[in-house]
Amino acid sequence: MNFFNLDIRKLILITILAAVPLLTLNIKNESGQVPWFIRPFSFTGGLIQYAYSSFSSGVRGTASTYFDLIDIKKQNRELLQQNTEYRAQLNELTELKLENERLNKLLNFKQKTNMELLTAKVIGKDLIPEHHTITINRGSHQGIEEGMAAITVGGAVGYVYSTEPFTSQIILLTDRYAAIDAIVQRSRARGIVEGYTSELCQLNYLKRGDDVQEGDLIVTSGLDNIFPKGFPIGTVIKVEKSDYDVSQNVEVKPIVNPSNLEELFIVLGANFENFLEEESEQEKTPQTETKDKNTEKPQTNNKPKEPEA
Amino acid sequence: MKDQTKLIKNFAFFLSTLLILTTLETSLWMQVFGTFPSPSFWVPVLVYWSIYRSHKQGLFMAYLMAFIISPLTALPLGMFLLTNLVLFEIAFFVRSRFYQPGVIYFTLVCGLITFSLPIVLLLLSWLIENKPLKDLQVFALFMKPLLTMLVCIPLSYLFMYFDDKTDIALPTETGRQF
Repeated sequence: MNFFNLDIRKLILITILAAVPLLTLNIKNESGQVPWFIRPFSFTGGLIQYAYSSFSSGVRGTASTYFDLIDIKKQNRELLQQNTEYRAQLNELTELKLENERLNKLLNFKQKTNMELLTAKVIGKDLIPEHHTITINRGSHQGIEEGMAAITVGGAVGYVYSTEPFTSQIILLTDRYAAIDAIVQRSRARGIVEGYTSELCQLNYLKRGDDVQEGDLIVTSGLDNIFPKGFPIGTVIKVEKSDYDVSQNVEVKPIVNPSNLEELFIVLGANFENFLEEESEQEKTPQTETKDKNTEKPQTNNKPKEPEA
Repeated sequence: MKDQTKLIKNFAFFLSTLLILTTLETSLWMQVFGTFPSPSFWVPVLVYWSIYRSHKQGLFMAYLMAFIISPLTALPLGMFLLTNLVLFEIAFFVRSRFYQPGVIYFTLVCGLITFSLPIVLLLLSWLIENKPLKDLQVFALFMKPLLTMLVCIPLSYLFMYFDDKTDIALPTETGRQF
Protein backbone atom coordinates (compact mmCIF):
# COMPACT_ATOMS: atom_id res chain seq x y z
CA MET A 1 0.00 0.00 0.00
CA ASN A 2 1.31 3.35 -1.01
CA PHE A 3 0.69 5.70 1.91
CA PHE A 4 1.29 9.00 0.10
CA ASN A 5 0.00 7.68 -3.16
CA LEU A 6 3.31 8.45 -4.90
CA ASP A 7 4.57 7.23 -8.22
CA ILE A 8 7.98 5.91 -7.32
CA ARG A 9 9.35 6.09 -10.87
CA LYS A 10 8.36 9.73 -11.19
CA LEU A 11 9.92 10.51 -7.87
CA ILE A 12 13.20 8.89 -8.87
CA LEU A 13 13.25 10.86 -12.15
CA ILE A 14 12.56 14.18 -10.36
CA THR A 15 15.27 13.41 -7.85
CA ILE A 16 17.81 12.67 -10.56
CA LEU A 17 16.90 15.80 -12.49
CA ALA A 18 17.18 17.89 -9.34
CA ALA A 19 20.46 16.27 -8.44
CA VAL A 20 22.20 17.02 -11.77
CA PRO A 21 22.57 20.79 -11.20
CA LEU A 22 23.67 20.16 -7.65
CA LEU A 23 26.21 17.68 -8.87
CA THR A 24 27.37 20.15 -11.49
CA LEU A 25 27.83 22.84 -8.89
CA ASN A 26 30.06 20.60 -6.95
CA ILE A 27 32.33 19.63 -9.84
CA LYS A 28 35.69 21.32 -9.57
CA ASN A 29 36.13 23.77 -12.47
CA GLU A 30 39.80 23.85 -13.28
CA SER A 31 40.88 27.03 -15.00
CA GLY A 32 41.52 26.81 -18.76
CA GLN A 33 39.76 23.52 -19.04
CA VAL A 34 36.43 23.23 -20.76
CA PRO A 35 34.48 20.18 -19.76
CA TRP A 36 34.09 17.64 -22.50
CA PHE A 37 30.34 17.98 -22.64
CA ILE A 38 30.51 21.71 -23.04
CA ARG A 39 32.97 21.62 -25.86
CA PRO A 40 30.54 20.93 -28.71
CA PHE A 41 28.40 23.85 -27.58
CA SER A 42 31.30 26.21 -27.13
CA PHE A 43 32.70 25.13 -30.49
CA THR A 44 29.37 25.73 -32.20
CA GLY A 45 28.91 29.03 -30.35
CA GLY A 46 32.39 30.12 -31.33
CA LEU A 47 31.70 29.31 -34.94
CA ILE A 48 28.50 31.30 -34.93
CA GLN A 49 30.23 34.20 -33.18
CA TYR A 50 32.97 34.09 -35.75
CA ALA A 51 30.42 34.13 -38.53
CA TYR A 52 28.62 37.07 -36.91
CA SER A 53 31.88 38.90 -36.46
CA SER A 54 32.93 38.27 -40.07
CA PHE A 55 29.56 39.45 -41.29
CA SER A 56 29.66 42.50 -39.08
CA SER A 57 33.22 43.44 -40.03
CA GLY A 58 32.35 42.86 -43.70
CA VAL A 59 29.39 45.19 -43.45
CA ARG A 60 31.42 47.75 -41.51
CA GLY A 61 34.27 47.45 -44.02
CA THR A 62 31.97 47.92 -46.99
CA ALA A 63 30.22 50.83 -45.33
CA SER A 64 33.48 52.50 -44.36
CA THR A 65 34.88 51.90 -47.86
CA TYR A 66 31.79 53.55 -49.27
CA PHE A 67 32.09 56.47 -46.88
CA ASP A 68 35.82 56.64 -47.61
CA LEU A 69 35.07 56.64 -51.33
CA ILE A 70 32.77 59.57 -50.87
CA ASP A 71 35.54 61.31 -48.97
CA ILE A 72 38.16 60.32 -51.52
CA LYS A 73 35.99 61.57 -54.33
CA LYS A 74 35.55 64.86 -52.54
CA GLN A 75 39.26 65.07 -51.76
CA ASN A 76 40.10 64.11 -55.33
CA ARG A 77 37.88 66.85 -56.67
CA GLU A 78 39.50 69.37 -54.36
CA LEU A 79 42.99 68.17 -55.23
CA LEU A 80 42.21 68.26 -58.94
CA GLN A 81 40.94 71.79 -58.58
CA GLN A 82 44.07 72.75 -56.66
CA ASN A 83 46.19 71.01 -59.25
CA THR A 84 44.48 72.90 -62.06
CA GLU A 85 44.98 76.16 -60.21
CA TYR A 86 48.65 75.39 -59.57
CA ARG A 87 49.13 74.38 -63.18
CA ALA A 88 47.52 77.58 -64.38
CA GLN A 89 49.76 79.52 -62.01
CA LEU A 90 52.79 77.57 -63.20
CA ASN A 91 51.90 78.22 -66.82
CA GLU A 92 51.43 81.86 -66.07
CA LEU A 93 54.76 82.01 -64.25
CA THR A 94 56.53 80.14 -67.05
CA GLU A 95 54.99 82.51 -69.56
CA LEU A 96 56.06 85.48 -67.47
CA LYS A 97 59.55 84.04 -67.10
CA LEU A 98 59.86 83.55 -70.84
CA GLU A 99 58.48 87.02 -71.50
CA ASN A 100 60.89 88.41 -68.95
CA GLU A 101 63.81 86.65 -70.63
CA ARG A 102 62.74 87.89 -74.04
CA LEU A 103 62.25 91.44 -72.83
CA ASN A 104 65.56 91.34 -70.97
CA LYS A 105 67.30 90.31 -74.17
CA LEU A 106 65.56 93.09 -76.07
CA LEU A 107 66.45 95.60 -73.37
CA ASN A 108 70.09 94.53 -73.29
CA PHE A 109 70.27 94.76 -77.04
CA LYS A 110 68.60 98.16 -77.05
CA GLN A 111 70.95 99.50 -74.39
CA LYS A 112 74.09 98.29 -76.12
CA THR A 113 73.33 99.40 -79.65
CA ASN A 114 73.73 102.78 -81.32
CA MET A 115 70.56 102.34 -83.28
CA GLU A 116 67.39 104.19 -82.44
CA LEU A 117 64.95 101.37 -81.79
CA LEU A 118 61.27 101.16 -81.02
CA THR A 119 59.87 98.04 -79.36
CA ALA A 120 56.65 96.68 -80.81
CA LYS A 121 54.36 93.77 -80.14
CA VAL A 122 52.90 91.50 -82.83
CA ILE A 123 49.11 91.77 -82.77
CA GLY A 124 47.99 90.26 -86.05
CA LYS A 125 48.79 88.31 -89.17
CA ASP A 126 47.89 88.42 -92.85
CA LEU A 127 44.37 87.59 -93.98
CA ILE A 128 45.67 85.38 -96.80
CA PRO A 129 47.90 82.57 -95.50
CA GLU A 130 49.98 82.60 -98.69
CA HIS A 131 51.22 86.06 -97.76
CA HIS A 132 53.55 86.63 -94.85
CA THR A 133 52.91 89.89 -93.11
CA ILE A 134 52.35 90.71 -89.47
CA THR A 135 50.68 93.65 -87.78
CA ILE A 136 52.35 95.45 -84.88
CA ASN A 137 50.92 97.71 -82.21
CA ARG A 138 52.93 100.80 -83.25
CA GLY A 139 52.15 103.20 -86.03
CA SER A 140 52.87 106.60 -87.50
CA HIS A 141 52.01 108.25 -84.15
CA GLN A 142 55.09 106.57 -82.69
CA GLY A 143 57.25 107.70 -85.58
CA ILE A 144 57.09 104.62 -87.78
CA GLU A 145 57.41 105.20 -91.51
CA GLU A 146 57.12 102.90 -94.48
CA GLY A 147 60.33 101.09 -95.35
CA MET A 148 61.76 101.07 -91.82
CA ALA A 149 63.55 97.89 -90.83
CA ALA A 150 62.06 95.34 -88.44
CA ILE A 151 64.57 93.26 -86.50
CA THR A 152 64.84 91.06 -83.44
CA VAL A 153 67.84 90.30 -81.29
CA GLY A 154 68.59 87.27 -83.47
CA GLY A 155 68.32 88.78 -86.92
CA ALA A 156 66.36 90.71 -89.53
CA VAL A 157 62.62 90.09 -89.73
CA GLY A 158 61.40 92.31 -92.56
CA TYR A 159 60.42 95.90 -93.04
CA VAL A 160 57.45 98.22 -92.60
CA TYR A 161 55.07 97.83 -95.48
CA SER A 162 52.26 100.17 -94.51
CA THR A 163 51.48 102.36 -91.53
CA GLU A 164 48.34 103.47 -89.79
CA PRO A 165 48.23 105.91 -86.87
CA PHE A 166 48.43 103.15 -84.24
CA THR A 167 49.36 100.01 -86.16
CA SER A 168 51.78 99.03 -88.91
CA GLN A 169 52.14 96.09 -91.23
CA ILE A 170 55.51 94.37 -91.50
CA ILE A 171 56.32 92.40 -94.60
CA LEU A 172 58.39 89.39 -93.58
CA LEU A 173 61.50 88.21 -95.39
CA THR A 174 59.70 85.10 -96.58
CA ASP A 175 56.96 87.02 -98.40
CA ARG A 176 57.40 86.94 -102.14
CA TYR A 177 57.12 90.73 -102.36
CA ALA A 178 59.92 91.28 -99.81
CA ALA A 179 63.42 92.27 -100.98
CA ILE A 180 66.43 93.22 -98.85
CA ASP A 181 69.91 94.14 -99.99
CA ALA A 182 72.34 91.61 -98.56
CA ILE A 183 75.91 90.34 -98.63
CA VAL A 184 77.55 87.02 -97.94
CA GLN A 185 79.39 87.56 -94.67
CA ARG A 186 82.42 85.45 -95.58
CA SER A 187 83.10 86.61 -99.13
CA ARG A 188 81.22 89.94 -99.19
CA ALA A 189 79.43 88.87 -102.39
CA ARG A 190 76.38 91.05 -102.86
CA GLY A 191 72.81 90.17 -103.83
CA ILE A 192 69.16 90.70 -102.99
CA VAL A 193 67.33 88.46 -100.55
CA GLU A 194 63.78 87.86 -101.75
CA GLY A 195 60.94 85.81 -100.31
CA TYR A 196 60.55 82.42 -101.93
CA THR A 197 58.33 80.00 -100.00
CA SER A 198 56.73 80.17 -96.56
CA GLU A 199 60.00 79.08 -94.95
CA LEU A 200 62.72 80.06 -97.39
CA CYS A 201 64.22 83.06 -99.15
CA GLN A 202 66.38 83.31 -102.24
CA LEU A 203 69.57 85.28 -102.65
CA ASN A 204 69.22 86.66 -106.16
CA TYR A 205 71.34 88.72 -108.54
CA LEU A 206 74.61 87.16 -107.43
CA LYS A 207 77.24 86.92 -110.14
CA ARG A 208 78.04 83.48 -111.44
CA GLY A 209 81.58 83.68 -110.12
CA ASP A 210 80.67 84.98 -106.67
CA ASP A 211 81.92 82.88 -103.80
CA VAL A 212 78.98 81.43 -101.87
CA GLN A 213 78.76 78.09 -100.13
CA GLU A 214 76.25 76.14 -98.11
CA GLY A 215 76.33 77.25 -94.48
CA ASP A 216 77.43 80.82 -95.31
CA LEU A 217 75.79 83.53 -93.24
CA ILE A 218 73.89 86.14 -95.22
CA VAL A 219 73.85 89.56 -93.59
CA THR A 220 72.35 92.94 -94.37
CA SER A 221 74.46 95.25 -96.52
CA GLY A 222 73.42 98.36 -94.58
CA LEU A 223 72.83 100.36 -97.75
CA ASP A 224 70.54 103.38 -97.32
CA ASN A 225 71.02 103.11 -93.57
CA ILE A 226 67.70 101.31 -93.18
CA PHE A 227 69.11 98.09 -91.79
CA PRO A 228 72.30 98.07 -89.71
CA LYS A 229 75.23 96.71 -91.66
CA GLY A 230 76.16 93.07 -91.09
CA PHE A 231 72.98 92.11 -89.29
CA PRO A 232 72.16 88.41 -89.85
CA ILE A 233 69.39 87.46 -92.28
CA GLY A 234 69.81 83.75 -92.76
CA THR A 235 72.07 80.86 -93.68
CA VAL A 236 72.64 79.41 -97.13
CA ILE A 237 71.17 75.92 -97.38
CA LYS A 238 71.45 75.27 -101.11
CA VAL A 239 73.60 76.59 -103.96
CA GLU A 240 72.87 75.67 -107.56
CA LYS A 241 74.68 76.78 -110.71
CA SER A 242 73.10 75.89 -114.01
CA ASP A 243 75.28 75.60 -117.13
CA TYR A 244 73.78 78.54 -119.00
CA ASP A 245 72.66 80.89 -116.27
CA VAL A 246 74.57 84.07 -115.54
CA SER A 247 73.58 83.95 -111.90
CA GLN A 248 73.38 81.36 -109.16
CA ASN A 249 70.37 79.88 -107.42
CA VAL A 250 70.94 80.31 -103.70
CA GLU A 251 68.35 79.32 -101.11
CA VAL A 252 68.51 80.96 -97.70
CA LYS A 253 66.82 79.88 -94.48
CA PRO A 254 65.97 82.92 -92.35
CA ILE A 255 67.48 82.97 -88.87
CA VAL A 256 64.32 84.34 -87.29
CA ASN A 257 61.26 82.12 -87.38
CA PRO A 258 58.36 84.55 -87.88
CA SER A 259 55.77 82.15 -86.50
CA ASN A 260 57.35 82.40 -83.02
CA LEU A 261 57.66 86.16 -83.13
CA GLU A 262 55.99 88.10 -80.32
CA GLU A 263 58.05 91.25 -79.93
CA LEU A 264 60.36 93.00 -82.34
CA PHE A 265 62.23 96.25 -82.90
CA ILE A 266 61.55 98.84 -85.51
CA VAL A 267 64.75 100.59 -86.51
CA LEU A 268 63.85 104.27 -86.42
CA GLY A 269 67.46 105.15 -87.18
CA ALA A 270 70.23 102.68 -87.95
CA ASN A 271 72.89 105.35 -87.21
CA PHE A 272 75.31 103.50 -89.47
CA GLU A 273 75.63 100.68 -86.99
CA ASN A 274 78.07 98.11 -88.33
CA PHE A 275 78.06 94.58 -86.97
CA LEU A 276 80.70 93.46 -89.46
CA GLU A 277 83.31 95.75 -87.91
CA GLU A 278 82.49 94.45 -84.46
CA GLU A 279 83.04 90.92 -85.61
CA SER A 280 86.39 91.72 -87.16
CA GLU A 281 87.39 93.50 -83.92
CA GLN A 282 86.35 90.48 -81.92
CA GLU A 283 88.39 88.26 -84.21
CA LYS A 284 91.45 90.47 -83.64
CA THR A 285 91.05 90.48 -79.85
CA PRO A 286 89.74 87.07 -78.86
CA GLN A 287 87.97 87.11 -75.54
CA THR A 288 87.81 84.37 -72.98
CA GLU A 289 84.13 84.87 -72.53
CA THR A 290 82.13 83.58 -75.46
CA LYS A 291 79.55 86.06 -76.60
CA ASP A 292 76.72 85.77 -79.00
CA LYS A 293 78.04 87.85 -81.86
CA ASN A 294 74.59 88.81 -83.05
CA THR A 295 73.10 89.85 -79.77
CA GLU A 296 75.96 91.30 -77.74
CA LYS A 297 77.71 94.45 -78.66
CA PRO A 298 81.08 95.57 -77.30
CA GLN A 299 80.77 98.42 -74.81
CA THR A 300 83.65 100.37 -76.34
CA ASN A 301 81.90 100.94 -79.62
CA ASN A 302 79.29 103.48 -78.62
CA LYS A 303 79.81 106.34 -81.02
CA PRO A 304 77.83 106.55 -84.22
CA LYS A 305 79.98 105.65 -87.16
CA GLU A 306 80.58 107.71 -90.21
CA PRO A 307 78.72 106.66 -93.34
CA GLU A 308 80.78 104.36 -95.47
CA ALA A 309 81.73 105.20 -98.97
CA MET B 1 13.04 105.64 -100.30
CA LYS B 2 12.16 103.41 -97.41
CA ASP B 3 13.37 100.36 -99.32
CA GLN B 4 16.61 102.09 -100.15
CA THR B 5 17.20 102.92 -96.50
CA LYS B 6 16.61 99.29 -95.61
CA LEU B 7 19.00 98.16 -98.31
CA ILE B 8 21.67 100.58 -97.10
CA LYS B 9 21.10 99.35 -93.55
CA ASN B 10 21.50 95.80 -94.79
CA PHE B 11 24.76 96.69 -96.52
CA ALA B 12 25.97 98.42 -93.38
CA PHE B 13 25.09 95.42 -91.24
CA PHE B 14 27.02 93.07 -93.48
CA LEU B 15 30.02 95.33 -93.92
CA SER B 16 30.40 95.98 -90.21
CA THR B 17 30.08 92.24 -89.53
CA LEU B 18 32.67 91.62 -92.22
CA LEU B 19 35.10 94.00 -90.58
CA ILE B 20 34.55 92.47 -87.13
CA LEU B 21 34.99 88.94 -88.48
CA THR B 22 38.11 89.62 -90.53
CA THR B 23 39.87 91.47 -87.72
CA LEU B 24 38.95 88.58 -85.45
CA GLU B 25 40.53 86.22 -87.98
CA THR B 26 43.75 88.18 -88.32
CA SER B 27 44.25 89.19 -84.71
CA LEU B 28 42.30 87.33 -82.06
CA TRP B 29 42.59 83.94 -83.74
CA MET B 30 46.37 84.28 -83.93
CA GLN B 31 46.62 85.24 -80.27
CA VAL B 32 44.50 82.29 -79.17
CA PHE B 33 45.40 79.54 -81.63
CA GLY B 34 48.80 80.70 -82.86
CA THR B 35 49.67 79.59 -86.37
CA PHE B 36 46.85 77.05 -86.64
CA PRO B 37 44.82 77.81 -89.79
CA SER B 38 41.84 80.03 -89.18
CA PRO B 39 38.46 79.88 -90.88
CA SER B 40 38.08 82.37 -93.74
CA PHE B 41 35.51 84.53 -92.01
CA TRP B 42 34.97 86.79 -95.01
CA VAL B 43 34.01 83.97 -97.38
CA PRO B 44 30.53 83.40 -95.84
CA VAL B 45 29.68 87.06 -96.49
CA LEU B 46 30.76 86.80 -100.11
CA VAL B 47 28.92 83.52 -100.60
CA TYR B 48 25.78 84.82 -98.90
CA TRP B 49 25.66 87.78 -101.23
CA SER B 50 26.34 85.68 -104.28
CA ILE B 51 23.65 83.10 -103.62
CA TYR B 52 20.96 85.15 -101.92
CA ARG B 53 21.16 88.44 -103.82
CA SER B 54 20.89 89.68 -107.36
CA HIS B 55 24.03 89.62 -109.49
CA LYS B 56 24.25 93.40 -109.44
CA GLN B 57 23.96 93.70 -105.68
CA GLY B 58 26.36 90.83 -105.09
CA LEU B 59 28.93 92.29 -107.43
CA PHE B 60 28.71 95.63 -105.68
CA MET B 61 29.22 93.89 -102.35
CA ALA B 62 32.22 91.95 -103.73
CA TYR B 63 33.85 95.26 -104.71
CA LEU B 64 33.08 96.87 -101.36
CA MET B 65 34.43 93.83 -99.52
CA ALA B 66 37.71 94.00 -101.41
CA PHE B 67 38.14 97.66 -100.52
CA ILE B 68 37.36 97.06 -96.87
CA ILE B 69 39.49 94.02 -96.17
CA SER B 70 42.42 94.48 -98.55
CA PRO B 71 44.33 96.55 -95.94
CA LEU B 72 44.55 93.39 -93.87
CA THR B 73 46.73 91.63 -96.41
CA ALA B 74 49.86 92.24 -98.44
CA LEU B 75 48.03 91.04 -101.54
CA PRO B 76 47.67 94.03 -103.88
CA LEU B 77 44.18 95.49 -104.15
CA GLY B 78 43.90 94.56 -107.83
CA MET B 79 44.75 90.94 -107.19
CA PHE B 80 42.45 90.78 -104.20
CA LEU B 81 39.62 92.32 -106.17
CA LEU B 82 40.13 89.92 -109.04
CA THR B 83 40.28 86.92 -106.72
CA ASN B 84 37.14 88.11 -104.95
CA LEU B 85 35.29 88.53 -108.24
CA VAL B 86 36.35 85.11 -109.53
CA LEU B 87 35.17 83.50 -106.29
CA PHE B 88 31.92 85.46 -106.45
CA GLU B 89 31.32 84.25 -110.01
CA ILE B 90 32.07 80.64 -109.05
CA ALA B 91 29.49 80.83 -106.26
CA PHE B 92 27.03 82.54 -108.59
CA PHE B 93 27.58 79.85 -111.21
CA VAL B 94 26.94 77.11 -108.64
CA ARG B 95 23.76 78.90 -107.58
CA SER B 96 22.52 79.20 -111.14
CA ARG B 97 23.07 75.47 -111.74
CA PHE B 98 21.92 74.10 -108.44
CA TYR B 99 20.05 75.89 -105.71
CA GLN B 100 18.49 74.75 -102.48
CA PRO B 101 17.30 76.94 -99.66
CA GLY B 102 18.74 76.18 -96.27
CA VAL B 103 21.84 76.25 -94.14
CA ILE B 104 23.39 73.04 -95.49
CA TYR B 105 23.52 74.34 -99.05
CA PHE B 106 25.03 77.62 -97.87
CA THR B 107 27.61 75.74 -95.77
CA LEU B 108 28.61 73.50 -98.68
CA VAL B 109 29.07 76.43 -101.06
CA CYS B 110 31.17 78.21 -98.41
CA GLY B 111 33.37 75.11 -98.11
CA LEU B 112 33.77 74.95 -101.88
CA ILE B 113 34.68 78.64 -102.18
CA THR B 114 37.15 78.47 -99.28
CA PHE B 115 38.82 75.48 -100.90
CA SER B 116 38.91 77.29 -104.26
CA LEU B 117 40.44 80.46 -102.80
CA PRO B 118 44.13 79.41 -102.67
CA ILE B 119 43.83 77.61 -106.00
CA VAL B 120 42.31 80.66 -107.69
CA LEU B 121 44.97 82.81 -106.07
CA LEU B 122 47.74 80.52 -107.30
CA LEU B 123 46.37 80.43 -110.85
CA LEU B 124 45.89 84.20 -111.01
CA SER B 125 49.34 84.74 -109.55
CA TRP B 126 50.87 82.51 -112.23
CA LEU B 127 48.91 84.28 -114.95
CA ILE B 128 49.42 87.86 -113.88
CA GLU B 129 52.34 88.34 -111.54
CA ASN B 130 56.01 88.53 -112.41
CA LYS B 131 56.90 86.76 -109.23
CA PRO B 132 54.14 84.23 -108.73
CA LEU B 133 53.26 82.18 -105.67
CA LYS B 134 55.57 79.21 -105.21
CA ASP B 135 53.77 77.02 -102.75
CA LEU B 136 50.38 76.19 -101.32
CA GLN B 137 49.97 75.44 -97.66
CA VAL B 138 48.47 71.99 -97.96
CA PHE B 139 47.31 71.62 -94.36
CA ALA B 140 45.58 75.01 -94.50
CA LEU B 141 44.10 74.12 -97.91
CA PHE B 142 42.05 71.33 -96.33
CA MET B 143 41.65 72.66 -92.81
CA LYS B 144 40.34 76.11 -93.70
CA PRO B 145 37.26 74.90 -95.64
CA LEU B 146 36.31 72.60 -92.76
CA LEU B 147 36.63 75.36 -90.20
CA THR B 148 34.83 77.84 -92.45
CA MET B 149 31.97 75.38 -92.88
CA LEU B 150 31.73 75.12 -89.11
CA VAL B 151 31.47 78.86 -88.58
CA CYS B 152 29.06 79.15 -91.51
CA ILE B 153 26.24 77.58 -89.53
CA PRO B 154 25.92 80.26 -86.82
CA LEU B 155 26.80 82.97 -89.32
CA SER B 156 24.00 81.96 -91.68
CA TYR B 157 21.48 82.45 -88.86
CA LEU B 158 23.01 85.83 -88.06
CA PHE B 159 22.79 86.86 -91.73
CA MET B 160 19.20 85.69 -91.95
CA TYR B 161 18.47 87.71 -88.84
CA PHE B 162 19.92 90.80 -90.56
CA ASP B 163 17.76 90.14 -93.59
CA ASP B 164 14.73 89.63 -91.44
CA LYS B 165 15.33 92.93 -89.65
CA THR B 166 15.71 94.80 -92.93
CA ASP B 167 12.79 93.03 -94.61
CA ILE B 168 14.81 91.26 -97.27
CA ALA B 169 13.20 88.00 -98.26
CA LEU B 170 15.44 85.06 -99.09
CA PRO B 171 14.80 83.36 -102.42
CA THR B 172 12.99 80.07 -102.41
CA GLU B 173 13.60 77.07 -104.65
CA THR B 174 10.37 77.56 -106.59
CA GLY B 175 9.84 81.26 -106.61
CA ARG B 176 13.23 82.89 -106.91
CA GLN B 177 13.39 86.56 -106.29
CA PHE B 178 16.66 87.47 -107.92
